[in-house]
Amino acid sequence: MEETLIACEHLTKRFGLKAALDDVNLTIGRGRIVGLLGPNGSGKTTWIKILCGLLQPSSGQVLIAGNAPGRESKSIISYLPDRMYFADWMVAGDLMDYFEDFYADFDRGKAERMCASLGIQKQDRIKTMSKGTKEKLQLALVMCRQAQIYLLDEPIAGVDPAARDFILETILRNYNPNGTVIISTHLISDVEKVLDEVIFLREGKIVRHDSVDNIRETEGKSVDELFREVFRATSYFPEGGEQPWERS
Amino acid sequence: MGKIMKYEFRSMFRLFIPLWLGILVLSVVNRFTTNLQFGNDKLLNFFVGLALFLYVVGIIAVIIVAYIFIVLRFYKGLLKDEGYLTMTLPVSLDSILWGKALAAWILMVLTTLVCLVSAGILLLANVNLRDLAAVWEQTVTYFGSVQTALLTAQIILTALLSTLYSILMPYLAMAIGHLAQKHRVGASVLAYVIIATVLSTVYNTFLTPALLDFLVGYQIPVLSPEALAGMISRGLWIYLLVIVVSCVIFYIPTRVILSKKLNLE
Amino acid sequence: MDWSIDSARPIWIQLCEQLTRRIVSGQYPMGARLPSVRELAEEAGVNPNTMQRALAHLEDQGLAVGKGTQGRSVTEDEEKIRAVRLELARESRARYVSDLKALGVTPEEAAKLFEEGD
Repeated sequence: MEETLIACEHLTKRFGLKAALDDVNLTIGRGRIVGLLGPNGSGKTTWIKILCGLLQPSSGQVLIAGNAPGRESKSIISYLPDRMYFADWMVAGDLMDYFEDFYADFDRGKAERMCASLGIQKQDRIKTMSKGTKEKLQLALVMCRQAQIYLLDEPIAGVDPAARDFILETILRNYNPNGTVIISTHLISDVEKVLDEVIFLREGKIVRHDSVDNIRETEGKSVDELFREVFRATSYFPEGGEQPWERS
Repeated sequence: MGKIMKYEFRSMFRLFIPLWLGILVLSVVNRFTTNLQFGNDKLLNFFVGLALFLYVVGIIAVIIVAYIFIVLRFYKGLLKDEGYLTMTLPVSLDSILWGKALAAWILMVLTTLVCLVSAGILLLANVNLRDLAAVWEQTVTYFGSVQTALLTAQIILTALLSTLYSILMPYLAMAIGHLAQKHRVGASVLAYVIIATVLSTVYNTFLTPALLDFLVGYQIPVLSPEALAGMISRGLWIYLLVIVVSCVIFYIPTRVILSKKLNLE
Repeated sequence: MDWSIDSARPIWIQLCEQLTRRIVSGQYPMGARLPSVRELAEEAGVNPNTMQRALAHLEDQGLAVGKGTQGRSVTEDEEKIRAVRLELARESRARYVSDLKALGVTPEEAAKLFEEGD
């Protein structure tokens, strides 16, 4: 088994003139829970999409367990995007069939048990489910795969605190020493207890990639506090920033 | 690919089986109502007219709905939120595209069959079967049974393939529209219009004259039935070839765009 | 006892401290099997690797004993536990004393307070 699960070398992605990812170099091993932290627009989702094969890099390369993104990598990545990706004509049972058909590592029994505990029935229409239920269903399906990489894009944003706990518990309960979980978020204080290491991403560049213990020991503060320091927005100063808007 | 088609069918049948049944019911209803003449009773005549009107509208509607369904399944399934799931499945892009295209094709074929059957139900009431059989006999004797069979097969094949053509073309238009960053729907519609215009110009400039060459070159009335059949047959082969080549020309850029330039919002 | 975790300090150290308290107070009796790393991590809501590090440290300190595939159990060394308990008590006393000093309480008043009990 490859020890390095994810390896990025000079990974760059440009949209027009703007670089969403700029010369990203990193490696991530197995059995880790990694936090991908950065403000909106820092490139987190772009990086995740490239890993999933939903975007092509402009330059550089990314290897997942030694392979470029493709069918192989898709079969070992379980992806939870920051939006609902269900076909709305389906009922819960259809979705189970779907996952079972396409993913060999899907544990249907577990998924059904999870759904039962969430109060979701086989014939419930996805169209009529509340947003919160759909989010939990999506999380349940993603976590019930025995994947080697779990990519969770903003799993707890816009979700009530009880659901947040549910999500973090689910992540811990499904922890697999051969697999790695990557959580992309800007809500750090909720997740930092479960993280092994964090990657700070700003404007497409990695500004920090460290284990959380290192950060706490060397900086003497929580990851959340460090994040606020590193990413403090200058325009939030009470006296204002440098320049007013131009008057024409 | 079969798995992809399985789920396309599931969503298809849930919607269309009721619709198809509806059409068949309407045609059965009309079979009876059109035979009724109520003389001067305007109200009942009105109902007969209404039933017929509904039926015609129903046929047109079900075909339009089928087409819209096909376009939407592609657009929503690959280029919108559902794409996050579909495009991360561990299957090849080809099997996804072909799965959708073939399922769409089967939908169109089945819908057309339902319409034909329902028209048949309606006509059975009003048209004499024996008259139809007589027309068929005449055609067979004129062209010879082998030629007739060949021509019939060619016509059916052409119809089937042009259905595929009419599915792959909007697919391409949507893929091209996806290249735009904003207003993707508008861009897709524009792409469709442009493709359709370009193609019909090309056809009119090259294909029709080529086909007409066959006809103008010879004196039609002088031709023997076999020669005539042969000529029509050749024309159909050319037409068929053009359709197949067009389908390939539609498919390749679609696939390239979706594999290299995918950018879901 | 619930787990209370402060994100500003290394978590494995806090876990160690709290596990130690559980052992010396008898919540995890001598010789008893400790729950698995996974179970403890889930209970505390922390990363399993972090919990693993805390438990390993506990072993180093002699409060826990690793039994290979059987997992870990609390030490049977009564002396050891008593020593640690005393150590923690002393630390608690030191905090108590400095708290009272900061409030300006005299040693006599402090002694009376202590006798009053709860």
